[in-house]
Amino acid sequence: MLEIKNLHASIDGKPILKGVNLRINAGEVHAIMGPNGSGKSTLASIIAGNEAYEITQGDILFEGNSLFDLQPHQRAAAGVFLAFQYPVEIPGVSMMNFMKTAINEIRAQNGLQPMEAAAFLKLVREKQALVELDAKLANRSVNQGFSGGEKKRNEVFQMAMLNPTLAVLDETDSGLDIDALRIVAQGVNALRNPNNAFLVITHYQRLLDYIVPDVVHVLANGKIIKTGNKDLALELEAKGYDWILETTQA
Amino acid sequence: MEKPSPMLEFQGPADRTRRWTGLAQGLPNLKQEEWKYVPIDALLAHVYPQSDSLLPLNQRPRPENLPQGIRYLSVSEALAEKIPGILKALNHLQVAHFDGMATLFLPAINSEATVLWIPASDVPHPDIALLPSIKQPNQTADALLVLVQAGAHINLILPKEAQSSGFSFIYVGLEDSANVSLHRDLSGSDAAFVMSHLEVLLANAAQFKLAQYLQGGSAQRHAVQAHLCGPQSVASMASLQFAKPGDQLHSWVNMVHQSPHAESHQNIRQLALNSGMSSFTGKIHVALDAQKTQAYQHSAAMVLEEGGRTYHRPVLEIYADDVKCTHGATTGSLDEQALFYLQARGIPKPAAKRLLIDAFIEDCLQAFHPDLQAALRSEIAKSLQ
Repeated sequence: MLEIKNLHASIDGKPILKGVNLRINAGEVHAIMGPNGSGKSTLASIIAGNEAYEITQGDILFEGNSLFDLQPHQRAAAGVFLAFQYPVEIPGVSMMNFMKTAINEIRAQNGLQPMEAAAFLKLVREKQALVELDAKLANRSVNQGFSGGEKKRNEVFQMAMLNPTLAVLDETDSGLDIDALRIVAQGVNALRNPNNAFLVITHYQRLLDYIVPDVVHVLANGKIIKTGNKDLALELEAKGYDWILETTQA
Repeated sequence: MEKPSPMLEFQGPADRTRRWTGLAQGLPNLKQEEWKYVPIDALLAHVYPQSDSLLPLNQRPRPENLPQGIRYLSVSEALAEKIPGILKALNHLQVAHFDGMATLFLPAINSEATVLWIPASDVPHPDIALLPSIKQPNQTADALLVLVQAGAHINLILPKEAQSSGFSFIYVGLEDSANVSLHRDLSGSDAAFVMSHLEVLLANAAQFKLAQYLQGGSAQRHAVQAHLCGPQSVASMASLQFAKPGDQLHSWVNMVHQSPHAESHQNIRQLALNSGMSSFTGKIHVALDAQKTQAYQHSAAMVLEEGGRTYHRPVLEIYADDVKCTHGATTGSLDEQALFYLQARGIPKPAAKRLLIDAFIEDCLQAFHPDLQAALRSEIAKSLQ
């Protein structure tokens, strides 16, 4: 489904990614862990199409086609979703208007008619229940006045509404208490199926207790330096990142 | 010897002296405050042709069958009939302190100027769309005096089609507990210079709401001065200014708190495209005995393209010591992070920009009459394409 080939990227002339290679198949959940500043969020942003980064080398193929040929909105329409680490507050744009616009724009790009109002409202109610999102938040501006946990739940709610093929979760666990973490993970697990895939970026193993990954990668200094199964996350938790950095340097 | 009529008195030496003093002191020029005023030389050199289609009020058909006792008449008729509020209005206009530009409008306030009289009523009056041009021969400005009696409640709408004149002056006098909303679209004139002055006088517990949209024309300057003369009076203003390429839009506001326990609000949104310029000067004046005043001002600007310019100038002149007065001004461009966020949800960049701009102006747009809101939304959308 997703294939990242020798990806190099920089911002303001400073190299961040220095040759990332990654392959994710349908039905899989991959986790990327790594110390601060290793390039995890950069990778997530580049997959979604953030133009702030300069791609100096490599390619990202999504279902066989280069993502670099697509604008961010076209990537979303193709089925790529990014749950932001820091969801942006947009005063004045109501959640309902935002979601309705997003769904109908994606449908239009895929040659579908706009969703009927009744069907849209039904979908909203269903997905709100999935992530236990307070229905009152739907009447507020996008992320404005939301608590940290509500913002992250709102990201998962949007993911559920848009039903992407590939979802990238950028530190969705940061700032969440244990209950919120469970609810968010519950939402993600409910969306897992053999036809979609998840790339979960996290600092901590804790999230992976709830969203069990098929593959765990360690990203450090712009490269994936180790890949393993879910036990790798436990080992990292026990020994820290210094251990793996020393091991790979040796 | 015949006693001079109040009208002659009104047009007497005091008025002339004030006008000449204003001119002698020199109108504000580019050197003093270049961002605030249009180039005055060009303005004074401009010749305003008289339109054949514009007749004095007394010689043209008047709107008939106005509801609930609402009347259109001339100042001379209003004086002859001793219409309540007319002398108060003329006295105020004689003694009020205007900014320099207003001297250009004063000659239009004479016996042939139009009076719109809104009587007291237990139920709100139906909405009224103001007449198109009310310009008099040999005058460079339109003048309208709206006299609103105690307890009357009305929405006045000035559609863009009514903006046929270059200069216009409107006075609104509100008696106790009167409630007036004025919604005006100031984007309809094709004159080289469009200038207006709105003077408002609020008595006890009167409420005045203004929603105005500025756009187009090579240069526009619109002044609003509200005198809060009674306790519990409230004046609110929402101004939406959209400077397209080549436009110069200036709004000047003065909320004059003369009485304790009064409240004023100024809410401004400015948008500027390439080479468009929009400015706002908002003054809050609180007199010595106007204790417990609450006055709020917020101006926000969004520069949509490189080369667009926006300016804010908050001016607070406070002599009372127990007041709540706030002001805030922000200028920025479209939030790139928010744009990316929307795009990442499948919304194409142009639609995402529209969504953000709509959100930016929504708060201000909500102050407009629903009919005008719909028209403005479609006009702004068209301009942004």
